[in-house]
Amino acid sequence: MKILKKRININSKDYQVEAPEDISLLWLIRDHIGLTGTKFGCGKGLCGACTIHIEGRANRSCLYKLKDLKDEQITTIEGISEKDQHPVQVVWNKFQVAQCGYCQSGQIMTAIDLLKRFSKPTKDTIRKEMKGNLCRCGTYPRIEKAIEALLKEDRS
Amino acid sequence: MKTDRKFFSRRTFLITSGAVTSGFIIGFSKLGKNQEKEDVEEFEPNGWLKIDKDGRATIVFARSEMGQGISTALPMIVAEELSINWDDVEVKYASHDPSTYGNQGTYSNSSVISSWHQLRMAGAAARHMLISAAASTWHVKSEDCRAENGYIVHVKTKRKLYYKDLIFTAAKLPLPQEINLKKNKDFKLLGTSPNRVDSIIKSNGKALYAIDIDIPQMHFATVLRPPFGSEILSFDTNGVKEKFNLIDVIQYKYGIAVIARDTWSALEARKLIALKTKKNIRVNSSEIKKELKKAVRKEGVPLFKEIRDQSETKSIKKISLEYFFPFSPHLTMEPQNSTALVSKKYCEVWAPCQKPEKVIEDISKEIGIEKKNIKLNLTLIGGGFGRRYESDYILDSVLLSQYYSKPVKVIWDRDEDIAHDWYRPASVNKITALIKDEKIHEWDHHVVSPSINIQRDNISRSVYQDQQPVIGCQPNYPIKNRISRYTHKQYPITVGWWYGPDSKNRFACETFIDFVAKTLKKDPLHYRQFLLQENNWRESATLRAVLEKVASMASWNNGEGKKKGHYQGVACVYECDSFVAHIVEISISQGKPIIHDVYCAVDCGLALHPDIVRSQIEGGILWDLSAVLYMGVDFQNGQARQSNFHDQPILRIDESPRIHVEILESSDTPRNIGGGFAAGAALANAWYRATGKMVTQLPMKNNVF
Ligand code: FES
Ligand code: FES
Repeated sequence: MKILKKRININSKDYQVEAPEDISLLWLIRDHIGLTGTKFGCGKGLCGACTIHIEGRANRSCLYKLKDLKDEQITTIEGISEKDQHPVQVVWNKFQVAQCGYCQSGQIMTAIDLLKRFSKPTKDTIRKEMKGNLCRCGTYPRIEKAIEALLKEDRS
Repeated sequence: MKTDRKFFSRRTFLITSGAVTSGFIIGFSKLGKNQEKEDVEEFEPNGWLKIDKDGRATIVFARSEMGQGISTALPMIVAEELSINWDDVEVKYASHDPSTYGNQGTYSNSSVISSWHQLRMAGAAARHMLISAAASTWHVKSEDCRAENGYIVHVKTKRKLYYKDLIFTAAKLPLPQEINLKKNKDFKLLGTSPNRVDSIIKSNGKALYAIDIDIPQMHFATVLRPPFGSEILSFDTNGVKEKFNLIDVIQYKYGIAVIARDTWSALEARKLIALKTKKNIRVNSSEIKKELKKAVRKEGVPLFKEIRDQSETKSIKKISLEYFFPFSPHLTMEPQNSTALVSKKYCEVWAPCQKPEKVIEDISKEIGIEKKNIKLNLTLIGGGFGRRYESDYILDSVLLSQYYSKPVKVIWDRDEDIAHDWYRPASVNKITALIKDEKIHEWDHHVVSPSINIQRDNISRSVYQDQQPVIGCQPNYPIKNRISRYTHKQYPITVGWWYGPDSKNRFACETFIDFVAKTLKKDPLHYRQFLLQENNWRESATLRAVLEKVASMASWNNGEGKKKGHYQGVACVYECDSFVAHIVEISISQGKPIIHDVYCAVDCGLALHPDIVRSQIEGGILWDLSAVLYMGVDFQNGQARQSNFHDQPILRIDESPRIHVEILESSDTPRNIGGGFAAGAALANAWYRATGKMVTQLPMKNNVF
C-alpha cells in the first residue's frame, strides 16, 4: 500500500503524517496522531462513535480516507473548546447525559453540526438527525432534552 | 447529630492508620464479608480515604465505572459519613490491588448495596477520629462536638476547627472502638444529585478507556477466531502481509492474529484472510431451536417444587404456552480490547474488566506468571453488561505480548464481537398454568437451555444442582403450587452473564400473566393487583404500590392508550431487590410497534443519588426494549449470521420513547437498581392488547414484524 506523507490540520494544529493512503481518518487520528477522543464502534458508518468535523461538517471518520483529504480543516472532540465551554458540552453536563460515555464524543459532534444547520429544529428533526449515533447505555432521552434545552436558551 | 450506634468489630473491620507526609489516611482493607444478604462471595468491597493538609479529601473508588454512576455514588457514601463538602472531595480511581481493596468486581448493579455499610463505616471512622482530635485539642468531651462540612464544632462554645488543622492529631489517635453512623434524616449529601465525577471528561474526549491506552513501541493487533464447533486447519493470507506492510500474521492458541503498525492495517488485513476449517460439531440455529423445542415437551427435572395446596382440582382449566429466546449479544459500544506488556516474570494489562480477580487468575494459568506479578489496570469501561466478566479478549493481548516480547494492543472488530460473544443462552420455555376460581392454582415453568455456570466455569457438579437456569421462572405473585423444571442442553456456543440473565424467564412469566388475564376476561393490571391482594407474600405490598403508581401515571384504562389507536401494556417485576412496574404505550404503523411512552414506577429503597437512579432506569428500559425488539444472533455452521449494527440493530434515538419515572422509597437503605427488566414484557403485552397476538418468539423483529 502506498504510503502518503502529508501535512494535515487538526484542531488548528498542523501534523506531519506518514501513513497508508487508504487509512481512515479514524485510525489516523487515534493511532498516528494520538488523539483518542474519537471512538471506534463499528468501522462501517453504522454507529456514529467516530464522528468528527471536516470543514465544520459532521463526518464519519471511519469512512473517510486519508487520500481523499485535501487541505480541509479537521475538528475532533478535543478541539471544540479549550475550556470545555462549548454550549453543547455545557448542556450535556447540565443534563448529565453521559453514562459509560463511549458514544458521547460522537453524539456531541453530531449535535453541534445539527445545531449549525437548523436554527429551530423540531423534535422530529432532532431525532432524525441524531439517529445515526447509537448509544447502548440508553442516554437518548437526555440527549433529546439537552438539545431542546439549548434551543430554548438560545431563543430567550 | 443523632446517630445509630454500631459497635466496631475487629474481626470484620480492621483499620490501620498512620501519619503520612501528605495527610491522614484510613485504610479499611480487611472489611470481611459484608453482612447484607448477598450470598455470592464476590461482594466484598473496599476502599480508603485521605484528607490532605488543605482539608481536601481524596476518596478512592475501587470498582469499575461502566456508566452506572458508582464512581460518584460510592464516594458520596464515604463523604456523607465524613461530613465534608462534596466540592472538597476528589475521587481517585484505584488500580487493581486486592491486598488493599479486596474484591473489586463490579456485577449486576450490585456495587452500591454491597458497599453501603462498609463505606459508611469508613467515613464514620474518620469522622470519629477527627472529632476526638478536636475534643482533645480543646480539652472537652467528644460527645459535645459535632462534625459539619469539613470542620468540627464544639456545640456549646461554637468554636470550630477545620479538618485541615486536625489531621496530624487525628492520625496519632487510637482507632475508634465504636462507630456511630448517621441517621438518614441527617444526610446532607446522600439523596441529592451532584454532577457525576466523570461527566466533564466524557464530554471533552479526555475520558480514557482501555482502547485508548498507548504504550511506546506497541504493536497493534486484531484477531480472527474460527466459527464455533470448528478448528483451523490452515489459512490463506491472500498477500495481506505485503499489502498492509504487516509485522506478522500468525496462528495462535485461539485463532489467527494479525500484527500491524496501526489498528487500521490490522483490521483491513483481517477482512481478507481466508480460513480453512474443519467442522467438529454441527452448530446451526435452526437445529438448535428444534432440539430445544422437542425437549420442552418432555418432563424436565424439577429444580424447584413447592406444593402447598393439594385440594380438589376438578374445576380446573389448564393453559399453556411455549416461548423461544435466541442467543442474545451484549454489543458494548467499546469493542472488546486489551493491551498487555509481558516480560519473563511480570505482566501488566489494561482492559475493560468487571471481574479482575478472575482475569488475573486466568492470565496466570495461561502464561504461568505468578498472580502477584500481574498488574491489571482498571480503566473506564465503554459498557459492561456482563460481557467484561470474561477473559477471552484479554488473553489475546497477553499471549501475543508474551510471544513478541513487546507491548501489544488487541482490538476486536465488531463482527468478531458479535460472532464470539458470551451470549445470554438461547432457551425454549414452556409455562403451564392451572386456573381455579380465577386464581392461578399451579404454575409450572420448564426451561430448556444451556447452563451458564456449567458451560462457562466448567463446574463439575451436577447440572441439576444449580438453580441459575430457572431463576425468574416463578412470577411475582403468591401462587400455591409452583414448579420450575430444567432440561440441560449444551452447544459449543459460549454463553455468559448478560444484564439481567434471567430476564428471559421473567419475560415469559409477565407476558403469560396477560394470557391468563385474557383467558379469564380480566383487565391485566387489575388482575395483577387481585393476585397480589393475598398478603402471604412479603413483597406483595410494595409491588402493589408500584403498580398503583404506574397505573395513575399512565392513566391506565384496561389497555386503552391515551390517544386513539394507542394501546398500553403493563408488567411488573421484583428483581435484584428492586420493585419495578412499567406501562408501555404503543401504536402500530405498517405492522411495526411505535413506542410512544414508557411509564415506570420504581422502588429501590433509599436513592443515594436520585438522578443516577433515574439514568440507570432510563438505560435499563431502553436496553430491555432493544432486547425484545431486536436482540438475537443465529448461527450457520457455527458462524454468526449477523455482523454489525445493520443486521443486529439496537434501538435508535428516533425509536426511543418518552420515559416517565417515579421513584418510591420504601426503605431507608439503598437496594440494587434492577430497573428496566420488565419494559420489554410490557411492550409485548401492549402488542398483545393491540393485535390479540401473544409475543412468544424473540426478537419481535423477524418474528412478529
Ligand atoms: S465507527 Fe464510524 S460510524 Fe461506527
Ligand atoms: S453512554 Fe454508553 S454507549 Fe452511550
